[in-house]
Amino acid sequence: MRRILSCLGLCAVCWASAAQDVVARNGWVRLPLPSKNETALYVVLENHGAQKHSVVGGTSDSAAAIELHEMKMLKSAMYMAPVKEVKIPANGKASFTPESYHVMLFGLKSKLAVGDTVNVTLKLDDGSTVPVAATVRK
Amino acid sequence: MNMRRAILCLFLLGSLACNRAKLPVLPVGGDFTLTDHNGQRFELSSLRGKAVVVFFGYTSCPDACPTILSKLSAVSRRLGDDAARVKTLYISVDPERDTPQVLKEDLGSFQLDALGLTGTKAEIDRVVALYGAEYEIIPTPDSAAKYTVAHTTTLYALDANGKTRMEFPFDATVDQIADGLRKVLAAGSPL
Repeated sequence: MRRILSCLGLCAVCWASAAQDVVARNGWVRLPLPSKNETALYVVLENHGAQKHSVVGGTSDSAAAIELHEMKMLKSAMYMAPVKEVKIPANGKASFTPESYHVMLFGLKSKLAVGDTVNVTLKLDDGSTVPVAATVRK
Repeated sequence: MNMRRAILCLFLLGSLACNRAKLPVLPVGGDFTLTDHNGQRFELSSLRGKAVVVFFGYTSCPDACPTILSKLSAVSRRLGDDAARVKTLYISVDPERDTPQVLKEDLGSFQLDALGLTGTKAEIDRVVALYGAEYEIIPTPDSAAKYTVAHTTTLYALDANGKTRMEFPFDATVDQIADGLRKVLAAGSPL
């Protein structure tokens, strides 16, 4: 029984540390175009821990679906494509920036305005989560 | 005094000629006809006398196209009074979703003298080929987007006679584009 409790305690510590290691900075959402109910979120995820992580998805009360996307090249043409995960190296960072990775918000539940805050919860590969409070910008 | 004036005029004309020589006509581009965001037929030749920025994209593009349109809005502010002599043409490569109404509504959110253009696939394909651009519709069944469109992000700068004088890559800065457009405006002015 003590062993089980110890294991559970250790797991709880690991889970908590993963969640605390990764911090979201400078989150912002591009103001959607008038006819669209989708847009992109950009953020820098800093990993202050010695263990690598990956973002694998997310949820938001503001959007019906969240996907991780990446800008790719096809000959001279640029396009976006969904990706399953984005790695965050140990003691490193993952940058979601224009022309690179971005978090797509599909099915926005209300019209957004510049200055609004969109809350998104990103999910990591170990099951922990990272809260992102992103400001809407043009 | 008259001699000094004559020398000054020759110097100015010479400078202008040098500027023209520095900006060759590129072997891409040409006149075309499409449908504008007001639902009217549009001919490129109707913009003679203005510099024109042409680029290809689609309004569901979440990253590259709004980045370009925001950048061109900043270029327009940088150009000041010269901005009135420049028109942007945003040619959709996604005619299924980009109706004239959608183009008009979405372009209206940018402070830019721009016209959205669409057409049949055959019409769009012809213009894409004229400018040496590329696009490809890529199905994304695992995404809510259903499909994405790979497209060239080059900006083509046309002079007042409709000739392509410069191309700007996607990562060109606001200053580079504004400076380039000033050269294009100068190149297209009558002597």
